[in-house]
Amino acid sequence: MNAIGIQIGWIIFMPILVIIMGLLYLGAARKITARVHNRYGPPIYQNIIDVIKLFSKKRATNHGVMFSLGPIMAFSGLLISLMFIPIGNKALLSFNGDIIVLLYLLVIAPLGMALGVGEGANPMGTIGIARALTLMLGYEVVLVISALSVMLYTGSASFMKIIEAQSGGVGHWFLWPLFLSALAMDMALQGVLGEKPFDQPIAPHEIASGPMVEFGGKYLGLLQLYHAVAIVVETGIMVNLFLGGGTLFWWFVKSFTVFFIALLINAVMPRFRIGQAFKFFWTYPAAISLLGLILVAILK
Amino acid sequence: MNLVTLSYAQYFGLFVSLSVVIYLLGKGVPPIKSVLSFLSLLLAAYLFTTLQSTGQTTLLLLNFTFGIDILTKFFVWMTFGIAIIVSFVLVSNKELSPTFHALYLINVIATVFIFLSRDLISFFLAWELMGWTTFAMIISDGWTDKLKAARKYFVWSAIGAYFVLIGFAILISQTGYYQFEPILAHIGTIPTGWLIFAVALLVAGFGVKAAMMPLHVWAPDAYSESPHEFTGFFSGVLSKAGIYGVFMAFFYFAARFEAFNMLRIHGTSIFGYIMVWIGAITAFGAALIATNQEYGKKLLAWSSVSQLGYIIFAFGIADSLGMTGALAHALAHALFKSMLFIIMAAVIMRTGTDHLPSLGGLIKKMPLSFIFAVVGGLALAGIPMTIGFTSKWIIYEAGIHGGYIFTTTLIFAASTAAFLYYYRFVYSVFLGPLHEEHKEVKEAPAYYWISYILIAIPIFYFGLYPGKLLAIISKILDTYDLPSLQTYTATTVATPLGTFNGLLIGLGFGAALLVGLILYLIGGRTKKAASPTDKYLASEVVTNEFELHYAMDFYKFLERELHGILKISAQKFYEFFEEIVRFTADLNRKLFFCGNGQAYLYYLTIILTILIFAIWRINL
Repeated sequence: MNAIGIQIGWIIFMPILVIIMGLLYLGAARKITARVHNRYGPPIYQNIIDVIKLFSKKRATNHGVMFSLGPIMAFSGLLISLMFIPIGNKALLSFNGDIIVLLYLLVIAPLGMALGVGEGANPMGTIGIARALTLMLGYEVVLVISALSVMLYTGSASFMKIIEAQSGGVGHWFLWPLFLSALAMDMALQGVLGEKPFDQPIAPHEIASGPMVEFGGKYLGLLQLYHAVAIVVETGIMVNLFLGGGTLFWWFVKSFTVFFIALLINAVMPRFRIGQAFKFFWTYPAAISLLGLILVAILK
Repeated sequence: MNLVTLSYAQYFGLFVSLSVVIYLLGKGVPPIKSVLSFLSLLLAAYLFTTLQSTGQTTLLLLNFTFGIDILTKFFVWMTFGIAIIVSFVLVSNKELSPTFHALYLINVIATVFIFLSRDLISFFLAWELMGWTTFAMIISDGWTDKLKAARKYFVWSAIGAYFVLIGFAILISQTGYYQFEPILAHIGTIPTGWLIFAVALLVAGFGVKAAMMPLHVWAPDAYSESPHEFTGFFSGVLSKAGIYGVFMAFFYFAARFEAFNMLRIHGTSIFGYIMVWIGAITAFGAALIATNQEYGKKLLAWSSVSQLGYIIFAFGIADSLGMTGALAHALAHALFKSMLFIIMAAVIMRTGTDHLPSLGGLIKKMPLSFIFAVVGGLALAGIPMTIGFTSKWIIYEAGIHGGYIFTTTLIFAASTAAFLYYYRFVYSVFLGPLHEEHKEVKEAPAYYWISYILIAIPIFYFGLYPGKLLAIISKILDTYDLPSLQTYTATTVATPLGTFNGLLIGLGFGAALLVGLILYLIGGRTKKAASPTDKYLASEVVTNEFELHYAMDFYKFLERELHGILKISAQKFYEFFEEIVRFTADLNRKLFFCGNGQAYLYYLTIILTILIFAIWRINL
C-alpha cells in the first residue's frame, strides 16, 4: 500500500516538477540565445511569469469548441506521454509501455493542436501545421531508425531495460557503441524541438508564428505549458536511449545539456526552406542513422 | 433451439431469391427496397448462426463442401457487421435503384460464401460472383462516367481470377481432389516447383483484390467511383476477401509443406520475405500518393491501399506476432475505413462534392460527423486507446523482433504519412472557413449517426481491451496449428520486446484531459470571435473576399521534393505495356488481315497444306 502511495505521489508531483523545469529551460533558452547574440536577455524565470500572466488575462477570443479543445488536448496528450517515459529512473507508468507506445502518445498533442488550429481557420496557422507535418515526416524516419538500432542492440523496446543495460558509469552509455545513431538522433531532435534551422512551422517572419497565430490568453498559456513539457520529454528520449538515464538531478542535467546543444545551433543558424529541411532529413541524418543501424545489425 | 435449420444450399438459394424479390418489389413500391434489403441482411446474419458447422451439396456431379470454423466466423461477422451498418446508410439514399439493393444483397452473400466454402470450386464461384456483382454495382447508376473505373476494376478482377484459376487447377491436377481437406492431406505429394508456382499464382491473384502493389492500379479508381454509401463496404470488407485468400494460400496450404520452408530469410520463407517487401513498399508508396490527392474519396482510397500494405507486410513475417497483427489490422481497417467512407458519403450527400478545396468549415454544420471523423482518424493514425494502435503496435513489434529493419522503417514512415493525409482530409472538409454556399448545410441524417456509433464502439473497446481481440485471434491461429501469441491479459499485451496496457493509457489520458480542463477553466472566460473574418493576418484587414481556406496544394512543398518518387507509377508501366500490345496487334492486323479475299484464300491453302502434311507425318 505504501509503495503504491509513493508511486501515486510521484505521478502527481512529477508533472509539476517537469512543468517548472520546462519553463526554466525556456527561460534559460532566451537568456542563452541573448548572450550569444550579445544582448542581455530576460531573467531566467521570465516564462513562468509569462504563463501566469497569460492565465490571468480577462478574456481570450475563441473560434469554436474544437478551437478550445485543441490546446487542452495538446497539453493532456503531453501529460500522458510524460507518464510513459522514465525520468530520473522513476518509471511512472512506463513499466506498462515501451518506446513505440511513447512515440505514438507523443502524437496526440500535435494532433489536438492541429485540429484546434484548423478551426481557427487562419491560413497562416494551417500553413504552419502543414509545414510541421512535413517536417515530422522528415525527422520521424531518422528518429525511428535511431531508436530501432537501440532496440536491436538491447533486444528490448522497454525504456527501463534500455536504461538498465547502460548502468555502471559513463563508459556504459550507448552513446559510445551507437555513436552514429546518437548523432543522427540529435540531428532529428533539432527538428523535433523546432529549433533553427528547422523552425519553419513557427517562422515568425513568414507566417506570424504559424499555429499559435489565433491563440491568445489562456490558450497561449496552455500551449506554453505544452511546449515546456514537450522539451523535457523530447530531450528525455535522447537521455534515456543514449545517455544512460540517471538519478533525478543528473537526468535533468543531461536533458538540459542536450537542449543546450540544440540552443547553440539555433542561435547561429538561419532557417531552411521547408522543402530543403525535409530533403535534408531524408539525406544526411537518414544516411547516418541507417549506417548506424546496419553496423548494429552486423555486429549483433 | 433453432426455429429453422437450413442447409447451405437453401441458405444461398433463399437470399438469391430474396434479392430477386427486392428487385421486383422495389420496381413497384420504391420505398420498400431499402427496408427489405436491410431486413434480409439481418435475417442472413441470424440464419448464419443456425447453420451447421459442416455441410455438403451435390450439384451437377460436383460435391460442394462448406464449413464454419472460428476463422470463418471472424471474417463472416466482420462482413455482416459492416454490411448491416452500411445498409443503415443505404436507406437514406432514395436514388439508389432496386437493382443496386438486390445486387448488394447478393454481393454480401457471395462474400460470406467465400469464407464458408471448403472446396476450390465453390470458392472460385463465390469469388467470381462477388467480383461480378461489385462490377455491376459500380455501374448501376449510370454507365458513362463510371465506365473507365469499372472497366479497370473488371479487367484486373479478371486477371486476378485467371491467376487464381490456374493456381487452383494446379492444386487439383496434382492431388486429384478439389476439397480443402484431401488437398491438405496430399499436399506433400505435389512436386515443390509446382506447389511454389501454384502458391505464387494464388497470392498474386488474391493480391489483386488486396490491392498489393503493383497490382493495385484498379483500387483508387474503383473505390472513388463506386456509389458513395457502398464504398465503406467495398474498401473495408471486400478487400479482406483478398486478405483471406492470401491467408489460405499461404498458411493453410503452403506453410505446412516442409520444402516450402526450406529457404529461409529472417525466419520466414523466401516467399514471406518478398511479401514483407511488397507490403512495406505498398504501405509507404500509397501513403505518399495519398498526401497528394485533391479529392476526398481518392485520398481515402489510396489510404486503403496503404493500410492493406500493412496487412501484407505482417503476413509476410509469418510468426506469431506477424499473423496476430495482420488479422487484427484486417478488422481495424474494416472498422475505421468504413467509418471514414461513410462520413465522406454523408458530406457528399449534403454538399454534393468531395473536392477538398470546395469544402471546409463543416464542423459548424455537421459536428457529429466531425467527432466521428476524429475517432476514425485516431484509429487510422494508430493513436493509443483505439483498435488501430493495438494492431499497428503488434505489427511494429513483429517487424523489429524479426529484424526487418528497412521495411519496418518504411512502415513507420507510412504511418507518419498517414497523419499528413488524414489532417489534409479532416482540415479541408470540416475545419477552416465555411464557404458561402454551405451556409444551409444540415447534419447527416440519423441513420448515419447509428452507423457512426456502431463502428465507434468496437474501435474503442478493442483499443482499451486489446486482449479481447487477441483472444479471438489466438484461437483462430491455434485452430490452424499456427504459432499464436499467448502473452496477453484483457488489457495488457506483451511481446518479447515490450508491453502495452490499453486500459491504463485510456484511464491516464482521461485523467490528463481532466487536468487540462481544470487548467482551462481556471484560466477565466472566453469571448466568441465577432465574425469569421475576426483574424490576425499580419496587419491586413480581412474581408469576406479573402480566400482563407488553405486547401489547394496542401503539401505542395512536399510534392516538389518527392517528385522523383511520385513519378514512378505502375499505371504508366501498364499503359506502356498496353501500347506495345496495341502496336503488335495493329502490325499483325495490317500484315495479315488486310481485307483482301485472295490473301485469305492464300493463308487457308498454306494452313491446309501444313495440316495435311502434319497428319500424313503422324500417320506414318
